[in-house]
Amino acid sequence: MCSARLPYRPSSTALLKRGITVQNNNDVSVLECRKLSKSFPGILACDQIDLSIRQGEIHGIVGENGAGKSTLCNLITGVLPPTGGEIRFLDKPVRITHPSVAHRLGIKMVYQERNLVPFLTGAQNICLGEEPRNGPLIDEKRMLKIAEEVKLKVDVAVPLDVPVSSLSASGQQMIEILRAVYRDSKLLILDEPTSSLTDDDAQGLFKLIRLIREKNVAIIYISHKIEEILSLCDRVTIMRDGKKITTRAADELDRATCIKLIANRDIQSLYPPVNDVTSEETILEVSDICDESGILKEISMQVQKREVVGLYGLVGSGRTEFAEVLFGLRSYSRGEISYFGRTLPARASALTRIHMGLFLSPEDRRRKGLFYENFDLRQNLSISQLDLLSTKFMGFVKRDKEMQVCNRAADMLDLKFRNFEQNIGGLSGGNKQKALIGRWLTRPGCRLFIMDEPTQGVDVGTKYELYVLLRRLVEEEELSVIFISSELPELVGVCDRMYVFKEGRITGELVRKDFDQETILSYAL
Amino acid sequence: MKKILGKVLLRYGVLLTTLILFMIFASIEPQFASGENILNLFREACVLGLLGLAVTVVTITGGIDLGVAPGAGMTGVLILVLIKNHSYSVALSFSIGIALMIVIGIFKGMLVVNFRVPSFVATLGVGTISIGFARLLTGGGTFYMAEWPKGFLFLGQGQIGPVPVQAILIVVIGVIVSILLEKTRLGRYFYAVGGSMEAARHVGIRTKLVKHYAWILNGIFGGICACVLVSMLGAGSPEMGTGFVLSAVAATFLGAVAFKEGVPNVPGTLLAAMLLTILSNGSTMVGLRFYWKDVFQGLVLILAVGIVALIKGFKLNE
Repeated sequence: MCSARLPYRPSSTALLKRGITVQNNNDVSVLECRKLSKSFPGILACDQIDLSIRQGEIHGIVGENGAGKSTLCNLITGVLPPTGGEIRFLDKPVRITHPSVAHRLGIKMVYQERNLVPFLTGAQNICLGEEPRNGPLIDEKRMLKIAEEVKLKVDVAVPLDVPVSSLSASGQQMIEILRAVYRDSKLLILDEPTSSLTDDDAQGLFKLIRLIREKNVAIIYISHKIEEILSLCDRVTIMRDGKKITTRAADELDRATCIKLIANRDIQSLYPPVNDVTSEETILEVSDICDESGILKEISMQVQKREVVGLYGLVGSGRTEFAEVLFGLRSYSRGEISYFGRTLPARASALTRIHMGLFLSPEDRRRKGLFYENFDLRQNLSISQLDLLSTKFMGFVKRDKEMQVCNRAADMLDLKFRNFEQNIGGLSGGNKQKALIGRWLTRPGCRLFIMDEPTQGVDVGTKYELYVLLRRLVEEEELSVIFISSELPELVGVCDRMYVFKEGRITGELVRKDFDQETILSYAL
Repeated sequence: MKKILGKVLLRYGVLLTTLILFMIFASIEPQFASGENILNLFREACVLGLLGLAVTVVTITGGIDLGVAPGAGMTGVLILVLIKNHSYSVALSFSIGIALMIVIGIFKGMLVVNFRVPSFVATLGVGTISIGFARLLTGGGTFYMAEWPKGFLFLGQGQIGPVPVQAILIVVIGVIVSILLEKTRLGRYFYAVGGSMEAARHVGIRTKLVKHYAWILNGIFGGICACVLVSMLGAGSPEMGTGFVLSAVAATFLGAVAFKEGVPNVPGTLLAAMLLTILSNGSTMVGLRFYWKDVFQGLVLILAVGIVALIKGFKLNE
């Protein structure tokens, strides 16, 4: 790569050569998606999306978890190939087969998590991969100078000569954005940029974004935060269930309308009938719990016997951490938990909880739930109750009892598998989840079952089976269930009561007759 | 059909290779298959086998051990010092040796489990320290005695009928540990912790305790190996363990390929120990220069670990 060509400020001639006219012309479409689709086995992540991003606009994209925003960005940045439709860049059809192709076109993305090299300076990070050279060596002086020019272009105050690890979160994010605009960017995509920023930092970020817009860079801004989107963006696209619902000018929208558009859907009969069998008896009482790392802030809630309690919230709102505290994998530092009248100790022990009939089916099956190595399906199913299946002396596992457990799990959950000796990786997503749940439900003594994201990566048919199972557990087996999910519709469809989590707190509690998607969303966002 | 053939080859491949190698060496040099040499093969394989077992139990729970071989060497030297210089009885010296290796095993366990030192580094460090201590003990030279006390040589050089004593010993140990790992709850927990520590925590397994148990077993096997080694050689030097460091690891991974498709296991490790011994003994007998042994062992190690990694990759993508 010739180092003399650094068109961070392209001349008009250079631009004209590429067929771009330099005007602050908001009619030039930088990126256009026509009927863009992406499907995975069993799931249509993006369903014929029509989107057009104009030069020099800030275009917001909003939607719930699972609406398809991330997949759409993966398509635009070349991380995933589309399964239908086309992408046009500067009015020419393109096939973005690899992130490097997107990069060369001028499409840059800044992710939620930082991707900087901590011990390099800001200038070095900005120029990473495209450093100015002096023969075979990196020209450090010119690098700093260029980085400073980029900084001036966007009028931002962040030191470029110290290691980025010493910068604040917002400083690091600035560096990453500068890196994205360093080389001839035409389209900048920002994914949840303020998720780890304070309000002041966020204001600084907005200023930077507006300045970038003035340089005629188009910006896609993805966020859950409706207020931000409405104050910052020129136009907003709302996505739901993989489809684009609408694109409107930001001035035409208000918070209420946004929420309505995000949430509004037909609730078909995707859920079994819900009979209220909740008893008066409170089996779990949580008062003002805080965990040691400060994620949970004074959580109070309770669970009655024979009810399904839903925990809704965005990813990162603290529900999984709360489940871990309840199950004894995480200690809590303040407050009290009372289970069937007994206080649960603050110092973690999952084993105690298991003996008391409190079970957890974790999210992230692959990392926290199932054993892909060393174990086959049979061993995956029995691992949760080996203490009940083995002899007192020396702990020999009783093979016949183990097979009984396996058969029971297969029956109870209607498991589809080849044989019990197969590796669990060979099961479909839905069946893997069933195995995980079956592991616990076949263990006697269950009184409270916590399910964390049980329908993630699960096909529609199996989802229904799981909902039926949930209700049966509560209505016939007299258990209680805590159902954690980021999919609001299923919680609304299946739960008796719901708590809403936001940033480590409970911001709302609703009973079934008050379930209303817009209200719940407004608590969560 | 192809898949079944593939699976059979995988499972019994190591066994087949062992037999084939044996026949190749025997045909080139008939002395290789003589009764005396076969006895030697077994004796040597037992030493490697015990070290392999020590590494295997730790590998199952997710670590690795590069220090048990030098540790056994040091302990062996200590046993010799106790017997020769301090006139301790054979039984007492052996017991102290085993106890010491158990303590070292627990120490390594604490480093890895409680202080989160990566096992590669921790065990390499302890191994190096062991050699150092051994040299301090002996002043650096080989240690031997013209006339060892009665019974000392029985373990390593004696026979019960046609069978070497240590072979019987290792078979008994192998059976016991095999049963422990395959049939008991604790054994299951070993595999669970090694398979996925997070998932093991989520089913209530006390992962740290399980790992400590593995390190205790590691110490026991290492200690027994030290006894067998010095008894077999009738002498000892601080470096006598170092030749086995990588073979013990190779035996574990090669054994993982045998019988259990990528999961470390006891019969596999013992079989692999025999294969490696045949390889090194045979190549010397056949007249290859002594250092080819290292070339072969290196190749086997790469091959074994590579195959295990490939198998794991296939499993995850199934």
